[in-house]
Parts: sequence; structure tokens; C-alpha cells
Amino acid sequence: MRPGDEAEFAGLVERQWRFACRVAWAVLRQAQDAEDAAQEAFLKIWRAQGWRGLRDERAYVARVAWRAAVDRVRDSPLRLHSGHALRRTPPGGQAGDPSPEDLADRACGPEEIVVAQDWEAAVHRLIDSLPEELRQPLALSAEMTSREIAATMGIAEGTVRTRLMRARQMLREKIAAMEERRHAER
Amino acid sequence: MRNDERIAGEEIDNRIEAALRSYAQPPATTEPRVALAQIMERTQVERPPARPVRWWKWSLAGTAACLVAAMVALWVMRTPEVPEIARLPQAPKAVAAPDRPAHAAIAEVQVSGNRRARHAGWPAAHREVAASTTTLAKLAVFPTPRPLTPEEQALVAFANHGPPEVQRAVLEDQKHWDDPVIVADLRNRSLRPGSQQDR
Repeated sequence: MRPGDEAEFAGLVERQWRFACRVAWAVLRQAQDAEDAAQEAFLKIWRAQGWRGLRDERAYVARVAWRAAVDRVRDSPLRLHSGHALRRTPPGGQAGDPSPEDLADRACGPEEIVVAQDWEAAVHRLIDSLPEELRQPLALSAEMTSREIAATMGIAEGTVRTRLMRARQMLREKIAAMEERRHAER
Repeated sequence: MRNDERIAGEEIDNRIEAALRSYAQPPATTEPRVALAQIMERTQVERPPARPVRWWKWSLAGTAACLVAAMVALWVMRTPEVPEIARLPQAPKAVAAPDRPAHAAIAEVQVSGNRRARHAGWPAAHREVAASTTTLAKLAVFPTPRPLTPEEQALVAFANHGPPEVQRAVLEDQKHWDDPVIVADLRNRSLRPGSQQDR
């Protein structure tokens, strides 16, 4: 360790902590898990002394945080077989609320969610119901460009764009169906 | 109608973007300074056990290297496996090698001596086997010349320093050394007195 290493590392944590938490949150959708994954990411960076000579520290931190979050999903006993991550609680939602999967099991459409909750929470649930390969890039797209997402997830930029387009298209279709049902009920 | 659809589509897109922004925001996060303190605490906790593990790794590697070196040394110094039949002493072949000069034979004898010296550190039983299997020097003349006996030396001295007629006789005699030896007929005298008959 060099004399100024701790100060450099402290600066990196202060600059990128919130961003790392958001990346982990996009994968895990659990606040505590997301913070743990972000801490794990910075510990990895500390052990590897990865803050030295970084050209793009934001991309590096995103990559490590995303990897830590994905590892956490993989090692979690609550992992679902359908490819979804942990059972997610949207901000503002209650832990006991039925998930989209539960609603599907009860032969209910996403329209029923809207009856009980506000529109934004319903859209959050619709996003949660997307396949994981579409949901993650979509969630990250609020923070990062397609190129950054591609570098973070280790896939091609074109693949990211395709997945984002498909995710938005699916969301539009679901929302349109939801709106139609609401108008019909009125 | 088409314009209304477009406007409705844009409105949905805007609302999706807004929902997406709120979707990407975690409810609350720890302050960076607090998080940094927690991370540094974890690094301090993780540091100490790292050293003994490294020390043990190095000691294990060293022990393994010593074992490997010892095994290699044993393998190099082990007794060569010779088939049982090859350990039996064999008579030297009686083959003349007229083309080989004498100094080559002497050099070979020296090499053989070196081999014997190399085998000196071996156990006695192994030395015997090695000696029996060592090839004997092949000399240029067979049978091996041996020093003259005292009688032969006296004969040579007599021939060299004797009277001229004796030297001539010896030289004449040497010319006929390779001639076949002819034994004259035996003549036995009769045991009876007065008899003239010889056979």
C-alpha cells in the first residue's frame, strides 16, 4: 500500500457509492441487498487496488457492482427458477402485495393491479414482470447509456439496444391493454 | 385519428420514462462516508488472516519441492536394473583384433580402470556385478605376450653372445620353426643277445 492509497480509495467511494448502489438495486430490487452488494464491490476494488490508473472509474465501478449483485442473486436461496431475481418489493409497495406472478396464478391480468394501486406502481410491477434479460438493461437505462450498459453486462451494444427496444415495446403493449381495460370499466 | 394515436403514444412513452426513473431509484441509501467507514472496517478485519495462509502456502510449496528433489536424486542414484542372465561372468571372447593399435588397447584398459573407480562407492555386491559385466580389454595379439622365463632368457643370451657357428645354427633353426615335426622311426633292439635284427 502506498501512502496516499487510502485517501484515493476514500475519494472513489464518496464519488461512486450512490451510483454503485443504484446499479446493484437495478438487479436486486432489495435495498439492503443492494447496499451489501455495493460494499462487496468496493471491497473487491480495494483488494485488487483497482482504483489505480482508471480511465473511466464510473464504468469500472458499474461493472464490479453489477457483477457483485449478479453473484448475490446466484448465491441466494430465494432465487426463482424463472430467471427472475429475488422477489422484489417496489418502492412504495408493501411486502405483502401480490406480485405479477401471483396475480397470474390467480388468473388476474395486470389491469387488476391498477384498480388497487396508482399508475406508477402498476408500471413498476409491469417492469418487474419482464424477463430478466430485458428488465436489467431497461432498469440500467435510467442511469447509463447503451454503450455503458453493454460494457457493464459484458454484451454487445447492439444487443443492448435490441433488448431495450423489445422491453419498451412489451411495456407499451401491456400499458395500452391496461388503459383500455380501465376505460372500459368506467 | 392518427394524430391522436401518436399523441397518446408519446404520452405513454413519457409516462414510461418517468416511471422508469423512479423505478431505478433505490428508496434510501447509506451516506458515502458511513459506507466508507464500514468498508474500511471490513478491510481491517480481513487483513490479518491473509498472512498465515500465505506463509503456509510457501512452506507447503518448499516441502513439496524438497520431496521432488529427493525423489529425483534417488532415481538418478538407483542401481541399474540388469537382467539376471547378464550378471553371469562371461569368458572373454578369443577374437584377435589385428587392426587395433596397442595404444588403443591401453586406453581401453584405462577406461575400464576408470569405471572401476566410479563403481568404488557402490556396495560390495554391486561392485562385483559391475566388475563381472565390465568388458575386458581387447589386445592386438593373441595369446597375450607374457615375459620370458629365466631359461628362455638364458637361451636368448646364449644365442646372442655365443660363438658365430652357434648363432648361425640358431638362425638356421628359426627358418624351420614352422616346418612340421617329423619323428623318426623307432628302432628297438632285440633283447636276445647276438641278434642283428632291428625294428
